[in-house]
Amino acid sequence: MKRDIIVIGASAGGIPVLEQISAALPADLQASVFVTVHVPAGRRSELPAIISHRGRLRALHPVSGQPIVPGEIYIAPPDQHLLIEAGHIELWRGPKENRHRPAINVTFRSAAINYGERVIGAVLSGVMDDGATGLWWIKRHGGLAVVQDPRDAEFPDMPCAALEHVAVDYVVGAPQLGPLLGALSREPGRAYERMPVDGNEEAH
Amino acid sequence: METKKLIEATCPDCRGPLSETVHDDALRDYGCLVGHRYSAKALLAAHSEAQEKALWSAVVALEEAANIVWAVGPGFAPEVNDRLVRQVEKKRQQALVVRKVLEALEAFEAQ
Repeated sequence: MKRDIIVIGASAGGIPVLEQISAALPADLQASVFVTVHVPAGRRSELPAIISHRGRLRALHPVSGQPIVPGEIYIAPPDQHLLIEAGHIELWRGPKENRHRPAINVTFRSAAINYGERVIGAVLSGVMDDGATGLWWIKRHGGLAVVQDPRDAEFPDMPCAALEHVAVDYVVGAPQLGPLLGALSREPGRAYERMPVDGNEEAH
Repeated sequence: METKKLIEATCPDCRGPLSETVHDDALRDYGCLVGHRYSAKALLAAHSEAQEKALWSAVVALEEAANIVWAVGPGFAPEVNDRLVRQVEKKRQQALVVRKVLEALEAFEAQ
């Protein structure tokens, strides 16, 4: 079992960090990367171009139903939640969470439920606390939690909230995030006992 | 383990019934019937906006009353119209009170 599902959540101050991560990820990454950033609805997002620009991996807005393949960076488009289902992506214009669509928690929770211990979740710079409960779900299902060091984050609220609510595995600065995520995706996951899943549990 | 209980309040986004859910005695979040979800901080922030929105609705209701009276008043007997116009003036004063409340309204600060 490899940790081959990397989910990243960012808000204010997170874009330069995402660029750094993208620049540091290897061309032969054997994991898929999912990025949810709080972006406003009603305008085109330049994020795929910004994130692809300095990196070796293709970054794109997926379409609903798009199959998940390694080495691609899937970015939640404006006004849609990005859900990670078994083998494919769903976009969903569902109810807002923490007043955001796309919301980080929605992506993280769906990853946790469908991919369990294969998931690495990372919370970057941002205001308020979206991503904290999502990261909690990732840990609950045996995944790894990574947080940008709040001292290094332009807006430390989101990293601080994640640290407050979750037993985080790694706290690192922006320059170390990309290399860390790349390394973690190569390590076989420890043999986690999967938490019992409630019958009524849903990704959304 | 998940315990869920209704809160006697409504969702700030849609006014549907609001519940608090506690997962594994550890994680607490808030959600409504249709699926809006909030952390405690996000709920407070959203509710601050809901309060402001509700009060602006009150201002509209009181201030637009004048326009209604200008439109329908002339169709009534003059003494009825005069009374309506006097009532509208009172509503304008009441609208000013609500505007004062809005100016003094504070968003919740949970930080």
